[in-house]
Amino acid sequence: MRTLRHSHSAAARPQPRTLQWLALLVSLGMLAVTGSLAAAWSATGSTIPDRSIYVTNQLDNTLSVIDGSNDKVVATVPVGTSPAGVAVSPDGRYAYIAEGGANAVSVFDTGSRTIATSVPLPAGSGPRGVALSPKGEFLYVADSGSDRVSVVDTATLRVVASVPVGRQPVSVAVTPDGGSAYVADAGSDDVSVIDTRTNRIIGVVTAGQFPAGVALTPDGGSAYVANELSGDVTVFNTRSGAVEATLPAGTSPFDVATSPDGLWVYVADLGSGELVVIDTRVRKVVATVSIGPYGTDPFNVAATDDAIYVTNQGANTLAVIDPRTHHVVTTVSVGNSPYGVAVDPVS
Amino acid sequence: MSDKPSRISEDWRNGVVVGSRRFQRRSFLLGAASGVAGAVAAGLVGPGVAEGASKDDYNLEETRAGLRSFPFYGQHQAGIATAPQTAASFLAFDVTAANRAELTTLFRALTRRAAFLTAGGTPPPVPPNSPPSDDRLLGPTVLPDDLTVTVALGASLFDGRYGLGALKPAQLETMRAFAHDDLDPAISHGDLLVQLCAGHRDTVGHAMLDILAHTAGGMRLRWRIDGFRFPPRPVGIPRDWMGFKDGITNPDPDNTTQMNQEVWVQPGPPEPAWTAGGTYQVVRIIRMFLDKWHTVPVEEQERIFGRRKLSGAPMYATSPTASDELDPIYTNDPQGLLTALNCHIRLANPQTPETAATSAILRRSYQYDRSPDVEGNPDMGHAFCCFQQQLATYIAMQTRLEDEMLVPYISPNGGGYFFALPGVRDAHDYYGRGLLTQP
Repeated sequence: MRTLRHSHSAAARPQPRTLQWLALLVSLGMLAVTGSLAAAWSATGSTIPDRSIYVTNQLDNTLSVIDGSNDKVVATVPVGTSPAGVAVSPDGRYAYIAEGGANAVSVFDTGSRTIATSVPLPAGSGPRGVALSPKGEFLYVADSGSDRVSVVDTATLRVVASVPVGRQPVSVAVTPDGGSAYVADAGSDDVSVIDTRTNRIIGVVTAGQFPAGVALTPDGGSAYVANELSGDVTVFNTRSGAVEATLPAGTSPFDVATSPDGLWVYVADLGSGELVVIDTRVRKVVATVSIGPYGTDPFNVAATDDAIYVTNQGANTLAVIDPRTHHVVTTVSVGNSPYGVAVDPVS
Repeated sequence: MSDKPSRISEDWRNGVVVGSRRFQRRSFLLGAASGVAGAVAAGLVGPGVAEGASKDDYNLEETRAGLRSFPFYGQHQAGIATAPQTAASFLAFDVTAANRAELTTLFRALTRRAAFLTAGGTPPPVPPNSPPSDDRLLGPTVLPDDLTVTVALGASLFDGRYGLGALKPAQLETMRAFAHDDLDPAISHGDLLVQLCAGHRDTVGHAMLDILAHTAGGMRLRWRIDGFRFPPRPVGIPRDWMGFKDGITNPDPDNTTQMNQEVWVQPGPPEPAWTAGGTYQVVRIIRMFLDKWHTVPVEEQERIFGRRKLSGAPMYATSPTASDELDPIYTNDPQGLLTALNCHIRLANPQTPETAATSAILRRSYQYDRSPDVEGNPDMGHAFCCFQQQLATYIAMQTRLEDEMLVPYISPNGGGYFFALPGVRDAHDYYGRGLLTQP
């Protein structure tokens, strides 16, 4: 742990601007990205950046590491127990994994492909969704069993705050400026808003029934909430907290992610086996992409400029979808019951 | 070979008269001998050979007419991966054969009758004033009518009587009572179980009477439960007496890999060699207190089961027309706010790494309706039946369910643990040959 803390602190030093821009962070449908990302990519002349995709496999306690250049699994690594949400640090060196069955966050060293250490959480925490602040200093963990969000300082690997939220929080997203964290409280049908400077709740927004996923637009202005039980997506204004739209979206929308350019919102629909595409300009469902039949169970979704990644809990696969054609480009076999997915573009 | 049910050809249905003494044995050869060898090869004429009859495209007319048959010979017995027929009887026997030789005779006789009954055919003529060769319950020709005969052995057969002790399937044991069980010895356990399933009640009854008549010296009926499957109401998996769709979550019988992992015993220690291709069978007679149950508000019933009552879908699907094929998912519901932690389906399969190995069974249950008890209360319930590669899987699952919320509404009072034999390979093979020919 000491070694890790040291090296991690070093890694957390300011990075070159391009690297920061490239630090695309996706976790549990939460997408934190600078608005200049697309520009950064085109500036480097790389249309398909090298990248790694990390998928947690809930029932066999492993993490699948996938090479984004060819969509092949390059490693399957034992992690803790019932791994759930996963997020990659902006420098790409660490993946943080919520150990849903072990009340801990595992820190995965992407270089050595081993678990470097583990951050214990209180008994009964039941961590599920995780999200990093844009620069990676803090990890926000939705503790679905204890109705709290744990805030982990990634430099010291200590829990620096435990914020009471609504009932059964399962998903969390951080604004691109790092100022607020939005927490989907599945059990109380609302979204808690945390001021990350004070780690206090500054607002509660009523969502649909059983909100299971939350994502923010890259400008931080809108939140999209997937409501599993009411089968819709709540769109609210993050400045006013006002619900601006409720969009029917499939049978059982389970997770949500925004595209890096902010134009699209992708919703994984557990029941129908589809990916629902929302146009954020008109706030309408403009496409549904069939991923598989009943039992495919699209679960979590992560989006980059050129690929949408969906874990399919029932099919034990990761679907890779072309955001332009809305076709499933490939389907990668991963472990048993894949849950979270995170993408590191700087591999 | 096709694993689809076979269809009787006209040639075959016209029947071939053979001498009564040789009939049963020779009937195996009729298909090949009747000049329709091509049809035999295509699985069109019974008794056919199957990898394991399974889900199929029912031809309604053939099913109604009772003309369709499931292949009898194969690696696995039919009646396991076979889509459940409408009518069933579970017959548990005490074996009375005096020794190993008589036991072999019994198994051979059972095999002959099962092969004939499942394929159908014309009963042999008998001399005047002799006992008839068939009760004609099914008319002039014995109709196959989707009949499957599935034979399984209880742990008690492996006691000292036949010297089979060392060959007992590794996990086979006499069913012990779970908490809240009220096992009645008169309807529990047994040396041998015959599961009969068919398209109609008369076919099952005919098969039972035939088997009893031909095995009378070797085994004696110990208990029996008759069951039936309801039609889909309105679609999908049939409901049980409680009004819930039952047996939704099952391995795919067409998925050989999955069946080999979850249902069929594979070769290798600790299982004795003869068991490969068989499977552990559990039968539980579960009485339901339906008067009490039907006063429970539907929302509470759904909470107890963990599924929607009308649709059979998981709790996250609210539409009454949602598919019962949707997978239950609890991972974002650790507190059980949507699907209660102690509901039936979540205890059966909690979807955790610790329980992943003890959560897959092949459910093949029936409903029963028997004479009322002495107080005049209906005796209706579930003839629960499941198959699994390891008996320990079922025991672990049922142990999790011991204190489920359904407990006040049910009373398991009979049944047993059995080992369903590997399939009979061909006309030279017979039930349990691998077991009985071991030194």
